Amino acid sequence: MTLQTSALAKTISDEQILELLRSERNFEHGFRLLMRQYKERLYWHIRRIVLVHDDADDVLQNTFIKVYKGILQFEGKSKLYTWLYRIATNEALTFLQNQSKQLTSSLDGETGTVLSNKLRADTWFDGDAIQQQLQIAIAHLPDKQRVVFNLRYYEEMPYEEMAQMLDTSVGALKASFHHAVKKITATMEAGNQTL
Amino acid sequence: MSNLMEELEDLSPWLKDQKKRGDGMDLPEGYFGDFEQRMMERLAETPRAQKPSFEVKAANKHRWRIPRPYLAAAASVALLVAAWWFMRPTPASTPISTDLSTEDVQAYLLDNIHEFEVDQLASLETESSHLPEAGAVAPPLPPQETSDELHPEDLDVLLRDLSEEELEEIL
Repeated sequence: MTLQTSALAKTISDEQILELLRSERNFEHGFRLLMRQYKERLYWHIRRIVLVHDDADDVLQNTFIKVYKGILQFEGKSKLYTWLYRIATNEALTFLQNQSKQLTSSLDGETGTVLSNKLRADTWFDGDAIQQQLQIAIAHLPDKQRVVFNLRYYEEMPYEEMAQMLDTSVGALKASFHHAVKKITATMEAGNQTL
Repeated sequence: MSNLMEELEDLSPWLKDQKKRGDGMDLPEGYFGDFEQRMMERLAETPRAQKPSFEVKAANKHRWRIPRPYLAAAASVALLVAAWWFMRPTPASTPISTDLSTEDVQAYLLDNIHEFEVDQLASLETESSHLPEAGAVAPPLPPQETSDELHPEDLDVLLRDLSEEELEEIL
């Protein structure tokens, strides 16, 4: 049964998943397929925003709870994955903002600093010094610029899809990505260890 | 070569090279394997949003199709009525003592003693302290009290002396 569901998940389309979700009898099956289809992509998208595995796990679960509660209100005006990415992005950024608020009394309240500290302590990060420095440089970008950079650099998402997801123009996204690249490169070249 | 790589070629060759090395992030083995099951267990406690019922909505929309000006007028009237109801003078605020003399009150009590609870009758001693003020409005009592008149103090003493059985007989 599991294998059957797994095999089906590889070929099933968003429309078929939505069709299953609209039926009371097949809802659970449809939702399992939706998770199977998108859990990894959403996980890595979230992980690159929050950096730490445990936080990514929490945010991914919260994302699917939101989806579970709201999937029947999805009107199909955008693609399903665009809608899912939007929820995941909002959940991840809200998670970071809440985390920063909890630490506002300390000097470590700034999101970039919080992320840097957490990344250094994360057992599920096994990158070398340069990879760590790169992640910290990305973490210090403003929220939206960080999301744009990750979507383009790691997920290679076309600007047009990103524009639909983030409700921003292609031109603005290109400018944002280019600006982020310049900032990161400058940071890495400077070898600023205080990040 | 993807568009991204072309883009990075011009923007930052260093980032282009780094991309090939990966991001250094790892995750627990088998993490995705049991993810759906863990989620379904958690979702079992989560209420699912119901599919919007267009039929009910349409029926309700038809039923409540009242023009907004009428709704506003009805709401205004309701507010005015509510305001009047809460702000109207209450009859309880009129002191009974302005119309009734002490004798009248006592006579009424004796005539209708069966309608009062024992506690109420016992509390007359306290209330009787207000009666002289009423006497100022009502005609003053004659200096010699008639024998069939009963003072509140007397009534209180009388009630205390009565046994429960006697009181039940009276009532």
